[in-house]
Amino acid sequence: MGPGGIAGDVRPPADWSVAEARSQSAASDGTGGCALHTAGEGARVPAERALEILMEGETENIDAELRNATSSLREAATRRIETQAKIRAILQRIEEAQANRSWWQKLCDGLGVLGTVLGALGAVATVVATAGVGGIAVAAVALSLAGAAAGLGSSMTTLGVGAWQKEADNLKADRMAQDIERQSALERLGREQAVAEALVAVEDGMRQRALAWIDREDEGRRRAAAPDGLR
Amino acid sequence: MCPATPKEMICEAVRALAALDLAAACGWRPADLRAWRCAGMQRLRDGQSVAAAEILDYACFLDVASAATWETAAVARLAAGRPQAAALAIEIARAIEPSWQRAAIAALCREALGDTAGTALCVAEARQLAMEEPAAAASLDRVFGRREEGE
Repeated sequence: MGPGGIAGDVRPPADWSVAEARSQSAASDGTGGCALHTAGEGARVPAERALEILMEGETENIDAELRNATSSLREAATRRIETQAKIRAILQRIEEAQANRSWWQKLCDGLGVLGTVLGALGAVATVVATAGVGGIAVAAVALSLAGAAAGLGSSMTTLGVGAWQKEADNLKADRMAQDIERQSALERLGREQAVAEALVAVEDGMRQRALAWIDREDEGRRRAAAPDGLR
Repeated sequence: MCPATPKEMICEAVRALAALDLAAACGWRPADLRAWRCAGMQRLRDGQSVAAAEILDYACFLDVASAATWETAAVARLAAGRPQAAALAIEIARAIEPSWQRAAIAALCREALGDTAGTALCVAEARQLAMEEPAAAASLDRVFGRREEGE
C-alpha cells in the first residue's frame, strides 16, 4: 500500500488473542446485548459494570447509530488524501498555532500524554511496524519531540539576548542574531516537519489497524452468509 | 478528588493537540469521528473487546478533545484486560469533562488495579456528582452497593 493510502490489503492483526476469539464466538448470539468477555478475568466484573454505566449515558437512538457506523466508515475510508498533503495541512496548523509561543511546549506535552495513553511508545511502535509504515522510529520521534521542547526554549533565549544588544554593537550583533535566528528557524522547521511526519505515520498505522478490524467483520459476515460448501 | 494526572496539564495538552485538527488533515469529517466511536462501542457491546479497544484508540487519536470517546476507550481497555491504560484514558475524559459516570468508571479501573483507596475516593466523587440525579444515585448503588450509613 502506498503512503497515506487506505488499508484495503491489511490482514487482521496477527496477535488476535484466544480470549478474544472466545469472546467473539460467545458474543455472536445475535442478541446485541451487553455480554462482555474480557481478556483478563480479574477485570471482568469491573468491565461489565463499567459498560453498564457507559450505556446509561447514551442517547436512546444509539442502536441505530451503532448499526450504521461500520458502513459509514467503510464509505468514508474510500476518500484518499496523500501523505504529503496531510503533512502540509498539519504543518500549516502548527504554523498558525505558533502565534502563541507556549503552544509548542503544550503540544509536546500533549504528544507525551497521548503516547502514554495510547499504550506507551512501545505500543505505538508496534502499530507502526505492524502496518509496515517504517522509516520513522517512534523512539526517535520521542527524542525529537523532547529536543524540540528544549530547543524552543533555548532559541527563544538566544533571540531575547540579541534584542538587548547596545546600539554601538548593532551591526555585528544583528548579523549574528540574524544568523542565529535563521538557524533557529531552520531547526524549528525541521522539528515541525518531524512532528508532522511522525503524526501522519502513526495515524496511518493506526488507521490501517482500525480498518482491518472493520474489514475482518465484513469477512466474517461473508463467511456466515456463504453456503456451507464455500466456507 | 482521585489521585490523578494533573487535570490542567492534561487539558492544555489536549487543547494543543486538538488545534492540529488531525482528523480533518487526514481526511475525516466530523460525522466520521462519531462513527469511529460508535464502531468501537458496537464491538464493545458485542464482546469484541480487543477490536473495540484498538478502534477506540484510533478514535481518541483523531478526536483527542472528546471526553465521550476517551470514556468509551477506557471501558474497552478495561474489558480487554488493560486496566492501567484504561485508568489513564478515563483520567483524560474526566479532565476534559467530569461526570458521575466517569468518576464511577475511574473507580472500576482502580478496582481492577487493586487500588482500594483510589476506588473509594472515586466512588465518593461519583456519589457527590450524582447527588442531583436520583436515577444516577440508584445506578451507583446498584454498581457499588448501597452507601453505608456514616460513610
